[in-house]
Parts: sequence; structure tokens; C-alpha cells
Amino acid sequence: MVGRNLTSGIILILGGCIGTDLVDDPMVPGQLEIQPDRIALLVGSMEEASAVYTNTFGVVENVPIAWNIGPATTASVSPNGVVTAKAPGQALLSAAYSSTTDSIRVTVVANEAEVAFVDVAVSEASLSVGETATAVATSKNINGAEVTGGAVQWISTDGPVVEVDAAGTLLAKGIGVADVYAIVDGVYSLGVPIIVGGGKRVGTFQSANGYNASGMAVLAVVNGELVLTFSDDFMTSFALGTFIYLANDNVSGTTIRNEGIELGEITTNGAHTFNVTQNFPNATISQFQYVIVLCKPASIPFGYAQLN
Amino acid sequence: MPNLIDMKKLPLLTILYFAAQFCQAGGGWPQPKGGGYFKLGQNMILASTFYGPTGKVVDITTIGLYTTSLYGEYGFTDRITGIVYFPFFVRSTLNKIKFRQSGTVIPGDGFSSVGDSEIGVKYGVVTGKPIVVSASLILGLPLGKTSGGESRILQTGDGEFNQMVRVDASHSFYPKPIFTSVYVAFNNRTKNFSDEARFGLELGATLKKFTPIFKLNVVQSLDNGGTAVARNGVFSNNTEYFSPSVELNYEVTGHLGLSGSAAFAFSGQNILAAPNWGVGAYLKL
Repeated sequence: MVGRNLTSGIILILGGCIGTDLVDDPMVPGQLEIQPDRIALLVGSMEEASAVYTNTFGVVENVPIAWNIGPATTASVSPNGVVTAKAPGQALLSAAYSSTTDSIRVTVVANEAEVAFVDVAVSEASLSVGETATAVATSKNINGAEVTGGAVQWISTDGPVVEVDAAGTLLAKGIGVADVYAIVDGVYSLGVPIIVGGGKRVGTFQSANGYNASGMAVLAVVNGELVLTFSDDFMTSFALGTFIYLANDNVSGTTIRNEGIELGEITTNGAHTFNVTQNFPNATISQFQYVIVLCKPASIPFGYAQLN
Repeated sequence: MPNLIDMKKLPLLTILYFAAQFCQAGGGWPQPKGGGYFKLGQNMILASTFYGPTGKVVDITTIGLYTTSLYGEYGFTDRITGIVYFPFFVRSTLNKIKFRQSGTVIPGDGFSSVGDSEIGVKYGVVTGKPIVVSASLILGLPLGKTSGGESRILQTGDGEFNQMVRVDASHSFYPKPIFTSVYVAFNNRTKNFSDEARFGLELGATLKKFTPIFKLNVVQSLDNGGTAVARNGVFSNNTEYFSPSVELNYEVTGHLGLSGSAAFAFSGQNILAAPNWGVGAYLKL
């Protein structure tokens, strides 16, 4: 054993093995999510729902879930999340663990002629103030077949942000996010988030850790794609491996590398353009707080721009 | 007196992250004609923190630097000594990052090559006096690589040819087995790197077969480099540090000995904030 340790020590000194840095995952709010995101049942039938808890380190954890459903006359739920349909109508199924909760709608129908699902499609989910978009609702029965004829009612969860009229025309009125729902025969659709961003977010680069970064960053939706641009006077310190990230942390290089999205390497000062959507189709204009200039290999932030 | 001073050597690392000081073996004493000092050394730095440009300590992904080197001094005459430092194997590593809770892993990296080397000559200006003085010209040869590994940040050299002029003064307290040296140096760096002023002192004693030495090395950037330093320069330009070190030498025979050393930058900028550990075996002619 001594000989092995001695040999290992010599190899470590002479060979320079690549070691491991153990770090904690970045802290995030705990999250609970019911799956599936909606349920439709015939009276008397059952379906099991599950709830996935993601802890404050972003790791899925098996935890005891407290289930609840109301009104009780429409459906019931067992301690294991099995939902039983009792009478036609729509109920709210809730799951809770610790301080996290989630809920979905459970639709109970008496037969195949009734509306069980309502889907909403919008022409544009990211709008600038003053822009309009169109929402269309489609009703389906318990088997997924389209049901026609029902009157559609539209609602927005935040009228000062998005206004929706009886025809499903959306008007962006203020910066923020609003969910738009369609209701047909008392059955709610899933909420569709409409982001009103004023079209762009702007930040000024600040230096970090003694390195230099200056200039402006603009994150904007251009022709439906999220694009990040730097101003002509953008300047930064450079190292081998200087990368641009979008992130919600501006201090820890390892956190930025782990939870942020990497847009690419830069080797020169001046204007740059990054098509965010091209590599990250699900990225949104409101998703990140910071644009980071990061020495990626050493995990040192050289500077950041807070997006306003 | 050479038996006291031959061992006073700390290997040079004028490479990215830790520009250790060129601490010549003889101080103010040149080697006698036909005499020499040759050392096979191994140094290691493993750093998870870095002194940034303002001196602030910054957390970094752990970087390892392993240098296997040959150092030699040879007396061509009683006044002229040739000096060579050749790090023939330098390995730079970047740790992988593993997140405890999720198990997510960001891969590490490694790169090996010959490192930046030095060649020089020392001239005994004042010899045979209570205080001896030597002057040296040391040329830094950019034999190392400035961009290596998959991450491309790993380096075994800074890519610039530097010339250093150095003056050493030494004194022996004979018959007491104690000696001391001081030096000043000017390091002219090229490729827009800032020049450097260097200072140092050391105090040593020979206690039978052991020779412990305390050293203090200071590097001050003149901050006169250009703004268009190569991209590798953001870490290796304008390097400054205040670094005490200790070294212990053991004389196995009259010609052979072993040494160990530890150096740390108590303050600095653009330098790894971690100890530089060294071991070596030396031969005296």
C-alpha cells in the first residue's frame, strides 16, 4: 500500500494528472410540476397524475406529494395522485410539497360530444408594445377529434400587458408577460404566455475582477429571432478562450458556465452579432439578466452587462 | 564560500500564471574555472485562486503546472560563468468541474511541451572581497507554447523574448556559516509586454550537511506595455508579486545533494495565488 501511494505520488508530481473541482450546483427556486399538464376524463374513469419536484440545486428529487382537487363533486384524487372523474365539469388538481405548488385543470365529460380539450395557437408570442397578434382556439373531444360550434371566450391574465378581444386579436399594451386563455363550454385551454418586451433589452458593460469590459449590448427580437448585438465601441480584456454568455449570475464563472448559455467565442473588440435562437430555440428575451464576457477555461468573468 | 552558495537556486518559470524568479545559484559569486553546479528539478503549482489585475484574489478553475527542468552553471573562467535553464518537460492542467448535486461535469484539459528557457552569462565584477559583486545578462528564450490543449488556454510559455540585466552582491560572515545576498534586475520584455524591475534578498546558513535558505523576491511591473498585447498576455503581462520562500538543501556527498523549496506570493497581480513546491537533486563540480 505504501509503495502504491508512493508511486501515485510520483505520478501525480511528474505526470500532472487532471484533477476534479467539486462545486455546488447553482441555487434555483425549488419547483413542482404536475404531469401531464391537463387531464380529460369520462365520468367514472381514472387517470394517475404525477408531480416532479426539482430541488434548489436543480436536481429532481423524490418527495412526498400532497394532492388536492376541487370541486369534490367533479372529481376526486387519491394520496397517490389517481384522479377519478365523478360528474361533468372542470376541476383544479393541485400538488404541494414544502413551499412549492402546482395545479392543472381536470375536465370531466359525460360523452364524446362534449368539449374536453381547448388548444390555442398564436401567430406571435413575442410582441413589442403596440403590436398585435392573432389567437385561434380549437376544441376537441375526449378522443382528440375536433368539436365545432362552441362559443369561444378569451381572457388575458394581465390586461395592461396584453388585451384580447372577442375575436382573439391580441394587442400588446405594456411591457411584461401575460397568459392568454380560451374558454369553450366552460373548458379552459392551457395558458399561452405572451411576452411584451418593447422589442429589446439594453445593457452597458461593466468591468469585473480587475479586467476590462465596456460598450453596449442589445438583446432584441428581430424577425422572430432573438439576436444579441454589441456596439461598435465594445471593448474587453482578452484571454485565450474569451466567450460570451447569457446568464442570470454575474459573479461565479462556474455557475455561468453551468446554467448560462454560451453564444460563442470572441477574439476582437468592436461590433458583434449573435443569433441566440439559432442555437437555443427556446431562449426568450426575458430569460436572462446578464450578458457575460467570460474567460471560459479559467472561469473568470471579465465583465458583464445587465439587461434592462 | 562556493560550498555555501552553490545551492541557492530556485527554478525559473517565466510562463503563464506564475513567473517565478530567476534566482541564480551563486549570488554575487561566479563559479570558479572548471567548477559547476547542475540541478535536475521538479516544481509543482496547483492553484484554485488567482491574483487578478488589481491584486484581488479571484476564484478560478484549478490549474496545475508541473515543470521538470535542468539548471546549470559552469565556470569558463574564474570570473565568467555560463548559465542555462531548460524546462524540458512542462505540463499544464485544467481541472474538470463536477457539480455535487447534479453530477454535471465540465471536462478538464491538459497540455505538455518544452517550456520557456533561459541562457545567460555572469561576470564577477568584484571578487575576493568581503562583498562580492557580479553582473549577469540572461536571455529568455520563448521555446514554450502559448496556446495548448483543447481549451487553448494552457500555456508553457509567454511567447516573448526577454533580456534581463541583473546585479548580485553577496557577503559571507565567515567563520560563521552564514551568508547573505541581494540583487536588483531589469527585465526587458518584448511583444508589448511591460518591462519589470526585480529585487531580492536571501539569507542562508550551513549547518553541517544542511543549508536552509530564506529568500524574498519582488517583481514590479513598469506598466509600460502596449495595449495590444497578445491574447495570452492578459494573464502573463504586468505580473507583480511579493514572494518569500524557503529552501532546504542536504549535502549527500561532497558533490551530490538534494533540495526542497516552497514559495508563495503573499501579494501580487496576474499570478497564481498558490505555493510553488520544488524538489531537486544537484551535482557540484
